[in-house]
Amino acid sequence: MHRDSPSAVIALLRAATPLALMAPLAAQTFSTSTQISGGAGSISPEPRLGVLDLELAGETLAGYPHFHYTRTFEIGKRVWMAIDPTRHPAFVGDTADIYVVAHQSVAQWIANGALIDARGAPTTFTFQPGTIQANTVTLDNGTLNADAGDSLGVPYDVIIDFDQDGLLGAGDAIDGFYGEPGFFVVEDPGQPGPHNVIETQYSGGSFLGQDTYYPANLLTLGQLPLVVISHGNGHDYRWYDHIGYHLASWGCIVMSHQNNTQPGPESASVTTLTNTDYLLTNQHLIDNGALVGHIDATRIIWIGHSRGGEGVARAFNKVKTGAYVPVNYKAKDIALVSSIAPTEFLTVAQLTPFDVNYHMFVGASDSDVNGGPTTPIVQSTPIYERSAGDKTFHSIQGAGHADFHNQAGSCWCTGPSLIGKAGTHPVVLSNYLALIKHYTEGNVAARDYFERAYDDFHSASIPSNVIVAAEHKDAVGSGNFVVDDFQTNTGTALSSSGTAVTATVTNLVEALMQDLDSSFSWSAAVPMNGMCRAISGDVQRGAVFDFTASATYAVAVLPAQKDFSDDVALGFRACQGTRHPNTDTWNQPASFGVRLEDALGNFSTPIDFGWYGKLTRPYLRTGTGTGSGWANEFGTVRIPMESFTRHNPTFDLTQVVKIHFLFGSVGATLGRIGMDDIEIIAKGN
Amino acid sequence: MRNSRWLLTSFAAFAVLAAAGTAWMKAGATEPAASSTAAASGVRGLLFAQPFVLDQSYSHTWRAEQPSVRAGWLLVLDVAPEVVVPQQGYEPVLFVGDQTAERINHGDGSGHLVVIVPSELDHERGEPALDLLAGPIWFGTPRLPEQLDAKGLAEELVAARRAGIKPFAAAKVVEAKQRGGGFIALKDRTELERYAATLVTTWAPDEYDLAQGLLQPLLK
Repeated sequence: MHRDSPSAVIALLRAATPLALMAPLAAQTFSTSTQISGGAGSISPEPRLGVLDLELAGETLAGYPHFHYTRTFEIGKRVWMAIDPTRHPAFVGDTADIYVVAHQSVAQWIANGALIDARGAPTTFTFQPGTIQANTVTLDNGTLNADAGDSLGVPYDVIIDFDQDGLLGAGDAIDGFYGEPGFFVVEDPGQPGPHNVIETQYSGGSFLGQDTYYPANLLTLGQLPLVVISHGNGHDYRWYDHIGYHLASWGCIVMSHQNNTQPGPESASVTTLTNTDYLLTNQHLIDNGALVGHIDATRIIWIGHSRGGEGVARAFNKVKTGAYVPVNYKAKDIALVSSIAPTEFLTVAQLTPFDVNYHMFVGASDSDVNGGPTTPIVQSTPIYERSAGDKTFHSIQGAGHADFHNQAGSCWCTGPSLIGKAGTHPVVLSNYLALIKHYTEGNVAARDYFERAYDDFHSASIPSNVIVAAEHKDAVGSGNFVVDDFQTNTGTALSSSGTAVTATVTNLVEALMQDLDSSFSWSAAVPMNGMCRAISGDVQRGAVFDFTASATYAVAVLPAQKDFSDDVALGFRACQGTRHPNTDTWNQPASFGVRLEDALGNFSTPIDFGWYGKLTRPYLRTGTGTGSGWANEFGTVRIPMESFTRHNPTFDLTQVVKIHFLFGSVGATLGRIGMDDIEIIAKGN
Repeated sequence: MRNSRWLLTSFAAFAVLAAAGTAWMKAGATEPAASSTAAASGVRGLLFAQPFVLDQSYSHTWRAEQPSVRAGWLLVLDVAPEVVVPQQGYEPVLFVGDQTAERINHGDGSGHLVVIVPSELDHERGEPALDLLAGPIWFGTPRLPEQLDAKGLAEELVAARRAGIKPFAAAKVVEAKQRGGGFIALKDRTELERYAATLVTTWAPDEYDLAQGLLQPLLK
């Protein structure tokens, strides 16, 4: 996996390669960046002239494009590598040794190019003509070491040693030379980490009761992120042991506090703020000063549940706007805010999370903050929609309101296929660890847990019956190009980027994503049925349409943005429309096709994104109108850009003129679809 | 006697809540909360009343104005458990006369609710100015206490009186005061809260764990 531009590394090599030490590398010519290919769609005409940095490691797909180059593998899972012979015809017929080695930096490779296979011995393989399937090789069956201590991911590189000399040298290919390692193997983030945990309970006075968890070997661990948990109404600050022990075992300091929820979320936000400050100010009083010097006040995570979930969003808003000035931290020190099934009593302005990295869990079976259309108070999702930072969303089917804490009693849940705490907690724990590792440590391996489709990649601790709809969107200003987010140019014939939209899907409507009739019953008069994504005063728009036969939705690409070859993926989010007759008839997870068109009129082969993960069937909960199906569940789709050239090397990713979404002919044969956030994902995201 | 009073109070409370609930629904604020339908039972009795006074004031967050509190009542109320089941949506606000009451425990198991009711001191009478003989105690409109200001509170009181909700009978108030004993003088809000927690262990033993959460060792 390589995400960074190679140009800087090339310069480094030119300047610093010690020729005597690295003869194979020194002998080659790094003449152009296209020769050091590996970016989507570029093919080196002379791959043997240099070390070729390629995507190699990944996983097989059951259908076209047949292989998914991926970054992270969980321990116990198989790792493959693959070469598309139509993009690398020079490889065909060659026999090579394929190595999996501990990741090295460029400088380390220059110093020592010896290949030592982490599996004990390389795999010898002769490249075949034809398809990528014929050139897919199992690298490991799940035995590679994943122990990275309290970090996530042991990094590896994959090398094709064409001259079989046991050295990385001219003509060899490598996944992991530039930027990121070839791949990571991670421990299951749903399992406890390596540290024993100490729990301590104390009070600093009124609404300063705290339950704090930290690694028992804290003395040896330096400064750690601080996770603050703010409970919900009628809940207790000692009901979050599952999160406290889990995150502390992975190297966090976790503090759950008394939260003043009963007066309302504004009061709750105050206790989040004051308890965070209290801990930072008074850490010398806790456990004989055990925490002193170990809390990193520049890496704070706020997690809130229910009214507390609204409270943490409000708390950040107040710090950001200056309505509250903390003593020991600033807005930039809040690395992540996560709201679990938050209420939404306060105003749009009060509950805008601005640019903080924001996350939300909701339970589709929640009978308290139920996510229904009857009142904004129980609609959590508009808060998520307003976030302009990196944001991630998980909707868990079968999870009730009380399934997110660990106190026995009513689950506050309703609907079919309930999963209880046993199903809910692994989703919570594994995703919190991934998010926190990424946003507090810059852990790259963790990104896959929220960047890839849930069905494509998630913790093995999550029971197989658990259904999760997951979204992730990079921050505004992260470099992605927004083709159409439906926020401007609100007619259906023009994208927000100003390009033409042509569609043969039926009943196409662009509008505010607000369910206006307080009912989930399907009504043609309420096209945004099931879209509990906006309330009065919000601006989040999207598109909805349906199809019962082959149909298309195509959006043109701005000429200035036509070069997709250096981009990572095509991204968008989509959902099935709840209780619509087409959804009810299809009655299963859904997908559709995507293809690109280049300036010469060539089309890429349609890709059914369902091979990566499908859109969930809306949760079959009844009530709030007739029929079955709860709020629409968006899922984020990211199709790797290179996959559009699979077995189709003549397709020109540098000249893309149009993106076509194909309905009826690929994936579901009929359906009702919601669509939003069509983006070109830039390198580095 | 207690039963007939209870029925009257129940009917009146139901009327208040029903009227409030209708207006609230028309405003599109939220769907009916479970507590609003059950709230007809409201406050069934006054079990314990003890005046308190503090050396240091604190802010009463259960009103928009967040008035400073130096004195008030600690009450234990007999309530209909179904009215006080905690939830995340709007909950019926508990009023004592012209003040909102702060709930210390939930009371949904025992039916016993420990509350703090701020009040100025009436130095002539030698007790909080909020006269329990004069002010009714009832569950009003489901809303957020932190958003309730003096105007809204006055409207609630008028509606309650119009609905026939009356203060508890003098004998009941006297009995409750006798159980409560005289003034308790405390240093600050923390001591008040911890004292209230001990009342929870006495009156709502099923919420012992909640009380323990309020009684954690103080850092020094």
